[in-house]
Amino acid sequence: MAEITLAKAVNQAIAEEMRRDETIFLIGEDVAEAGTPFKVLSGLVEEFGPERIIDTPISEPGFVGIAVGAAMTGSRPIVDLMFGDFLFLVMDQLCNQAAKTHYMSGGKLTVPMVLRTNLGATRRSAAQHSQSLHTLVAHIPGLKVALPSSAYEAKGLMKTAIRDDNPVVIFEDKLMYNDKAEVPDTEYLIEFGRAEIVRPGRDITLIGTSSMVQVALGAAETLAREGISAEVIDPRTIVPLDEDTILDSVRRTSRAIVIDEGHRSYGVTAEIASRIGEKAFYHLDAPVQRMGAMDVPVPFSPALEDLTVPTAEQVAERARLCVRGEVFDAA
Amino acid sequence: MPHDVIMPALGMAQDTGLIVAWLKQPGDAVKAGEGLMEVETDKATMEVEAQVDGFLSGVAAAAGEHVPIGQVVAVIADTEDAAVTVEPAAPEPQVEDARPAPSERAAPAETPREPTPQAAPVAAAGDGRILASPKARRLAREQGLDLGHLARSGARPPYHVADLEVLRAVPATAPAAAAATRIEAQAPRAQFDELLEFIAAETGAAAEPGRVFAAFAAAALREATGRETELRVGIETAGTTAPARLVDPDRISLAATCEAGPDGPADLIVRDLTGSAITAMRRDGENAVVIQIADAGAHLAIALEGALAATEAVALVNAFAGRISEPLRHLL
Repeated sequence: MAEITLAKAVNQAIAEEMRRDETIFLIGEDVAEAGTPFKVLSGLVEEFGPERIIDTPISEPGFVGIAVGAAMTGSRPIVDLMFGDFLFLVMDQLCNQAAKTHYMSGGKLTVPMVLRTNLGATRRSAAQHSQSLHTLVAHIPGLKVALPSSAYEAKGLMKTAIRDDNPVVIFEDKLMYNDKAEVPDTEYLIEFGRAEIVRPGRDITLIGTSSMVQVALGAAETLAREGISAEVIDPRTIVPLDEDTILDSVRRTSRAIVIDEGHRSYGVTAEIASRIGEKAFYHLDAPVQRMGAMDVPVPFSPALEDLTVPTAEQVAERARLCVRGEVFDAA
Repeated sequence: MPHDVIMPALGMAQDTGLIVAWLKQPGDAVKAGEGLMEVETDKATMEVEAQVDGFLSGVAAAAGEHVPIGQVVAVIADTEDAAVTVEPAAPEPQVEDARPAPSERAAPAETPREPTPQAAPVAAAGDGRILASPKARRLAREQGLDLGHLARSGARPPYHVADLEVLRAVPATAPAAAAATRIEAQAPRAQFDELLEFIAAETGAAAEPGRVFAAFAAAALREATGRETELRVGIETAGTTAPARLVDPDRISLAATCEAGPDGPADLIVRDLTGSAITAMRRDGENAVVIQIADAGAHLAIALEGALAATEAVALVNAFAGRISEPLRHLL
């Protein structure tokens, strides 16, 4: 086991897979010489050359379209979309072409493409570079969506994504690139659709995605000192979603808070909370709670930006209300 | 009857009032004349008092909000239980340039206050739904616990699984039950027997005396106590083990057959001992009012036992015996 950063874990995953399979190439803005603004891909162009690590002009629709076509015709492209916010530029390539080609070709064509991008606010990048837009693509059948929460998940999920014959979108939290975690020296994959119980507990289930797993763990730590035992679950992929692990947990604890950095309304939290309501209703002892980013454009002001994202203390406070039976009219 | 709290007109040229602060929280008990909220007009800040006794609920405007005058900002519920479920009336649509005078606006809210006597008996839960979590409700059902006991014990809803522990500890009796009263009476049975024959002839099946007793008893209880809410009556017949239940037997056809009614405690138990050698029986731990009817020659022997005030008990037996001796009194 070695402790490495999330950036290094992604780099290792891509390098290992590119060594294994020559049909894999990587394409995007500033991916070769610059190694991305977050230095995630540093060293790859030296090993694999500019034929397989391809810098493009600033034209997201162009290079995502190229990747979709390449994937249909035998390559396994990894597309680097510098900011998750640029998804709006590539919606047709991703949602109308990549997601539907297998279905519309009667199974004759596949699109084994990975689009890696990021999410997360509080990096002072203002409203157009701070969004968490994973819910947009999770809504489209035909796309898989992975949300790594640590270096360990980032490496295992990336390798699985590259080997998947369907288009997969991976969102890394841009604030976690330097966070370290233990990663096995030997090769491993993380199966899609398998949630991880990060911390077992009895009294309440905190379901956190991506950056919010750490927030949930922080809340669980605080709650543990007060005698409240919180279980923390990381779904790891939201498409496919491991409903069974979530429902089993909620049936044991009778209470749940879903935390995700996407905007609070119409998001991942709504989807998971309603599945709990539909399938574990008679096990609930408190209304299922949702916590997400405020429904506002992410402010540039550091003081304001920090207010828009759920914190461990806010999650702990909501959990206390749930456990004490005091959530009656929560907003 | 819930009482609406409206934003009053405190100034001459005033369209809205600013709620500075609520002096009571939802669920708090309030007395008429006590301050409910502070309201700021263009000139001054004033305290708005409660008009009736009750429990503050349905707070529809928070401190800091400007509210058009005449709009309902809260409700004063009769009971603490109801305080949780009462919703404020929908705000009236804003009509530009046609604002009625404040007195006209206030008028409808005043009306329901009148029939509320000062010493009206507080009905437990009334028709208010008991609020409980899905899990608490399911466990209570599985374990045969009645969440209504929690409501009657004064515990504040909504109820959670933890409250079931409290519920197990709550004695089955309602708190502060009146001392038990026992009354015996007799009524001539000739006309009652004719009624049974009439029902049998009309329906083609033998009439169930217990069913008819239940209707008479329920009506007599209402006459004696003024009770209007739903009445659950248990019907026991000598020799049978499974008691039947009927809801409001006095409000459905006498010929309707007796079916198993909803579970839960009965308000009134009718024990039909006619046609058996038993003349009276008593079981410990019975909390409902029990009326027993037994054969006594040309009469029916009536015995009442239960936690009723003596005057109510006497009125109940008189009303019941009256219906036995002259069934037309019931039908009219």
